[in-house]
Amino acid sequence: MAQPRLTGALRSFSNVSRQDDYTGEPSDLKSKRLKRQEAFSKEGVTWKMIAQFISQHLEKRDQQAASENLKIVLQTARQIVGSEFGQEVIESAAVFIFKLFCNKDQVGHEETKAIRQMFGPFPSSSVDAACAAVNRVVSLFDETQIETFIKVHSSSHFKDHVPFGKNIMFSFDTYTLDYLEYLPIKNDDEKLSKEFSLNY
Amino acid sequence: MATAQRVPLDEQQTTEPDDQTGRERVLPALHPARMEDRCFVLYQPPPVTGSAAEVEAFLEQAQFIAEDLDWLLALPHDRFWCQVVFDESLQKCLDSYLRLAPRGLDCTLPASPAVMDMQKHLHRSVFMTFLRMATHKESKENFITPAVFGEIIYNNFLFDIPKILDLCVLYGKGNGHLIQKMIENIFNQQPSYYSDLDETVPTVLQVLNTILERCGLRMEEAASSEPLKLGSTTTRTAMEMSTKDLEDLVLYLCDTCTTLYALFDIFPPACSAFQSHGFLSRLASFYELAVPDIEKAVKKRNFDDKSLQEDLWRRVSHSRKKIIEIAHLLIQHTCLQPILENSSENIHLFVEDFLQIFTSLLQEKSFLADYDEQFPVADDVSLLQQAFPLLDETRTSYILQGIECAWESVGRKKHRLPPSRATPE
Repeated sequence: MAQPRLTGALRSFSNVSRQDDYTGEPSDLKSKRLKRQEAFSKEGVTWKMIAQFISQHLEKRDQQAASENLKIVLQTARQIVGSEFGQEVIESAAVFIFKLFCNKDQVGHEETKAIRQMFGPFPSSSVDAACAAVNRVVSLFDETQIETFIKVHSSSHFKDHVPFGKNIMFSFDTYTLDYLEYLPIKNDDEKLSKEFSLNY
Repeated sequence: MATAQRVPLDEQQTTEPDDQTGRERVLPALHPARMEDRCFVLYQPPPVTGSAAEVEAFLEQAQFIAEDLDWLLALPHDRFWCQVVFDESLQKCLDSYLRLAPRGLDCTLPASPAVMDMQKHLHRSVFMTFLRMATHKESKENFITPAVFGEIIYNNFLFDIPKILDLCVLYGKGNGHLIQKMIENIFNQQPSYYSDLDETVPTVLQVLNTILERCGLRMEEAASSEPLKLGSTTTRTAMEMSTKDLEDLVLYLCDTCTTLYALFDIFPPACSAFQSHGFLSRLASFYELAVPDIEKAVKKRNFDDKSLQEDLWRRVSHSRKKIIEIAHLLIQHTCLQPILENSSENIHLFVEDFLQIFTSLLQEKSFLADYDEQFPVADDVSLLQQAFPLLDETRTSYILQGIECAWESVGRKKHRLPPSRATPE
């Protein structure tokens, strides 16, 4: 439950703030995730580019295996985002998964967290399968070839901009309770005020 | 890209492709079409129980906010302002943080390192966002016309008085200098905030009255001017109310005193705004009436949970101290400082204020004794005598005698400091 606050009273009873600022309703995390996926899909690398790069840089004998693994990644992406979404959303999810696992051998806590943050709850078997499929594709290339490709094509949309306040010193020090140490155990009313001193 | 250099943002224009037609179009640099639909989520405070599911839910939601604020702070100046002015979800997110973020005074349980790290990340990012919103000139190239800046922040409620108070109490202790500059700039560029501050004072006074009423008490002024409501005699006192109500009352008192203290400490001009409503005398009456009652209730009631009793006692003690310190800040900034700085031709008016304040406080015995213990009035009188040789000695003696009486009437002995040696002529 929210703590009683002076500023709560000011917001409710004085006429100096916008009344509809905060309603206390929980946020719709589903819409947030969709927005995030949408934003991600606009960031540089597309599924088409990944598929093209792979087919262009592999010998014919490896292309078949790579293409099958890319299909697995797409399938698992569909399982993770849900089948109700269109091809565009699924391909964008596949890119996310591909980027996430292209330099990871297995699904760790960070990867699980990143996927849940992006898509919400998901079947873990799909993620394991996706990770393995991405690894099989990457193993067909030189160590950093894929990573470099992704880095070059990732959009640096405002990411290289120095964030405001980066060099501003910030302190986490905050007002804390400033009190007398003891609770006087006295029964005499009259003595209470005598015992209680502001001589800190 | 903005086309002009060294032109304020509010006068810049930019060409951008139209989302629907794909054609280039000219837009003001500050335009809703340039805002990104980011959908900021609301802040929820760290979980109280600390169950794994709650922790995870907190971290997930907080991660969204942390990422979004990091993104926001990295935006170029024009994009940042488009977002803060036109994105309502961002303003709701910031507002939810100010309302719900734990204060240093709140009863908080130990949180996991992940929760603490995330909370710290958010705490800093929210501060930097407000700091950037309070800055009309970020660099030689990136700035907003001061008057337009004042309109933008006021008309869009980017800052309002409750938000300013929240900022003071959340960040004032560790970042006082920055918060001070920030609030000064807001008030300088938009004087309407002074009117809003003035408009807020009656509500603050009402908060004090509400606390008294909950204890079954009334201020003398209210008692004489308003008739008693039928049935109001059945109001429960602090001794009779439920433990939960008493706890809420003490938390409310504690938060109110600390928030006001933070405001006056960080933004001294607020002292004058409050004093123009006779705030100090109301505060002293409140102290005289409410503190002994609440103190007695906390001390004498039977608590099943002794740790709750001790916590409430510490909070009442803290509130007492803060009220005394608020009183001192009010006197310091509205009378003493102008006198000692000798900056005003109307110095006698400030002296008169000082004398009148203490004359009117003589009836508030325990308040006065506690104030004098912490901030000896005789020291101030002595300083005044040096700064203003025409000081009316009859009146100062009367006040100092009144303070002696206050000590006696509350049955305490004054801890006298050795008299300071007079300066040789």
